[in-house]
Amino acid sequence: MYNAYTIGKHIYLRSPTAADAEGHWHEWLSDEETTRWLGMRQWPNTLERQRDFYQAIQKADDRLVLSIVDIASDKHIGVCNLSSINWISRYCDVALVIGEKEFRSGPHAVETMSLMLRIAFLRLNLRAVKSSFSASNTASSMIHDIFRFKEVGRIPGLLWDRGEYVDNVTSVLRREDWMARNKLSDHARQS
Amino acid sequence: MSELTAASSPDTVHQWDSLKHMQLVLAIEEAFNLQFTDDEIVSIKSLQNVIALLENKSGAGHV
Repeated sequence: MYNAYTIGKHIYLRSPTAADAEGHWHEWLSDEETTRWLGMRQWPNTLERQRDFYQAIQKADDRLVLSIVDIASDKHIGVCNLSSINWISRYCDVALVIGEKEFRSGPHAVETMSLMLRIAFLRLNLRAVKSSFSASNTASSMIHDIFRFKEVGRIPGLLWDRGEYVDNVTSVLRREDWMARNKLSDHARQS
Repeated sequence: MSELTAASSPDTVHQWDSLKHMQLVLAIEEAFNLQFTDDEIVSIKSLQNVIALLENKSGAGHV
């Protein structure tokens, strides 16, 4: 385990390394199946673009990008981030990608979301985490449901998805709701 | 389809993938009118885990 930022049961999250950028990361963001739900990523990704992104996130103060690493195999399997962090109003967006397909059927995505919420609310002291996703993305819809995000908006037919326009859903999880569900007092602080 | 036992888990039930896992969590929460914590959701690895969590939440040793 190298430079772990947060450790879970099956995965740990760490700052991306230059080796991550040189690995499969850029290929995940070219893959049609993987990028189906990733908004603007309709163009093929390249190693050069991934290197540029890696350099850019080193100095970003409104975005926390973390590599998802499978503990058992010590393999870089995906990436997640808290983005558009507003330090005044204290909210952010959350997103995650399990790039290595053999890890998609396991517990890794759910555990990643769990760890990211803990980071957002307890480590960064944010008040709300929001997320926007395609209504046709069943997995995304369900992961927001089990973590009790509440739908706060829906733009009908905004997104083009394989031959049809589908709704864009925006959902929010507020800190107080997350704390209550996890039976934490507002004085709780743990990494 | 294989018969489910307390030991059934994603390792023994081929259809138990991440989507089915989330469906299971939501169905149990609705059926028993309860909410799991994040740690509990991540800790579920078998039906035995589910039974233990439900017994723990019931507070009486049974659901």
